[in-house]
Amino acid sequence: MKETVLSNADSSEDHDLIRSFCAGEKAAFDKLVNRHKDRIYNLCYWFLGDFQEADDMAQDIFIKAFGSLDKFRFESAFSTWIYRIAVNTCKNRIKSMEYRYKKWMDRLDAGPENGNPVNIVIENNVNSPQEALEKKEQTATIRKAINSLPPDKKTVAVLRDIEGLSYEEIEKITGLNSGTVKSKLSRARMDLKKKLKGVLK
Amino acid sequence: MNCRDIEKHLSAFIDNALDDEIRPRVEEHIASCTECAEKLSALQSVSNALGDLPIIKAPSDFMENLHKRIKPESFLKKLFRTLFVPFRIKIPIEFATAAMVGVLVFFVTTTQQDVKQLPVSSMEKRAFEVNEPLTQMKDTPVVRKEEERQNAVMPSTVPSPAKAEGSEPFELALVIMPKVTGRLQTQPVEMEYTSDLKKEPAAEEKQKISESPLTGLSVSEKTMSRSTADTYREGRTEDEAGEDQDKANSYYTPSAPEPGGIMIQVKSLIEQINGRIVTVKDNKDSGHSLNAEIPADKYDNFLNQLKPIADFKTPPPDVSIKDMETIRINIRIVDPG
Repeated sequence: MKETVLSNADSSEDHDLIRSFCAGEKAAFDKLVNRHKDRIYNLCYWFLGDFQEADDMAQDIFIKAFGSLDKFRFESAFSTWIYRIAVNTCKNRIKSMEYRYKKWMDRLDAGPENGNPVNIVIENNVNSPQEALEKKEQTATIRKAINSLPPDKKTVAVLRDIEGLSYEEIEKITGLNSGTVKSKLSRARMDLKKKLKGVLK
Repeated sequence: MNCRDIEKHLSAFIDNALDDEIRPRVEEHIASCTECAEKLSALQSVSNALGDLPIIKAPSDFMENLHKRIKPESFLKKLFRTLFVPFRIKIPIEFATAAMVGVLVFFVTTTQQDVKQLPVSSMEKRAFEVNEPLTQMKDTPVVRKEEERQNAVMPSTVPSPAKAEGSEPFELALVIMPKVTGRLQTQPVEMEYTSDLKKEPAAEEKQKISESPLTGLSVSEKTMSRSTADTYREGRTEDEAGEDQDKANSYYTPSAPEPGGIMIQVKSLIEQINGRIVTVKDNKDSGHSLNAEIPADKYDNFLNQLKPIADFKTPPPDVSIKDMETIRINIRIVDPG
């Protein structure tokens, strides 16, 4: 599992950048974006299952952060704050009629099994093209399985297993208590286990 | 714990997030239950599979595109957000503020009107409504000097001397009422005095009447009583005497004089002092009033001539300002009492 939780030193550096930004140094915002854009983009992709959607949402998230960074109260890590914006933005996007219509049209165009062709570079150790192809197919299947989860289950599954955040961090981001996070994550994994039966070794 | 209870804790068991109390029980159960061990393994595979998913990095032009979107949107969105967002809070506050400003303006305007009208009696208010050149009246109109007028809270009834010294004539108002006396009306009374003894006093009374400065026809109520008493002495029947009494009453009993009747005399006075009558309102609906311009040096003379025929509702203003040629005077005639 990836460990992407920022250390205290990283968090402190984020806070310094925010103070610089609030003091008028606009370049500090670019540094903040560069530090967090990949995590946010990754979250958006696995949450929405679409590159274009992920691109739009990630930009929306940073634009929202840009507009309200002067209201940041330094009570939490910037990463927690930006993840909270990201989760809420993605959930709202999933609920939107535009997103639902787009997904419906994609399904009609692509057919039931095709889905979104994922141009993901498999960086894991693969020994042959055959293995790379299998890995790619498996990744597409997992993406579809994640995409089929309800938003609440998807949120905790993505934050915990894909983003590698701690339970405590997830509680701060989602506002759920510890027991709820555990039970939602347990149910999300159970659902995925059923959906991925035969795919995972 | 049975398998169903254990299954709920398997996910947290993978993440090593179970309490110290529960974790040994789960470990013990898994060691003895192959089915739960397989479930744990499957969940572990799911978690590992998700963890092994490739990290999707942001495209290289992400920052460039972000800058493109931030720059044009920042000003308008910030302005919009400053004015309206959040809608649920700012829009009601804005409506409430607008309503409060409206109420405040309403109160200020109405209060100022009340203050203006406060010192004006109801009668004078009527005069004020008719006399357009005069904006306000007070119970005791006096000519105030410029400093007093500026310091006064209430607007003065008399325009400022500065205005009087300029091209505009000086303005003032008079409210008068005819003197309450018994008087003859326009029809002359034909009276027969049959008693020779009483003819002389009657002639004296007629002389008095002719000398009256008012109409030349006024007689006192006391005089008429004496005249009618004479008719009885002459042996007239009661009915005839009663007719005469009624007749006399109809002409001589004290009654409220008509404001319109005095208007002619006032006009005459103004013409006598070389004044100019500007407007006259002489009907029951709009009231009896007169606008005129009189020479300033004849003002006192005019007042003296006015006193015998009318009472002043309010003392006439004392005009003591020099270098004034003309006084524009508004006279309103009201019913006595």
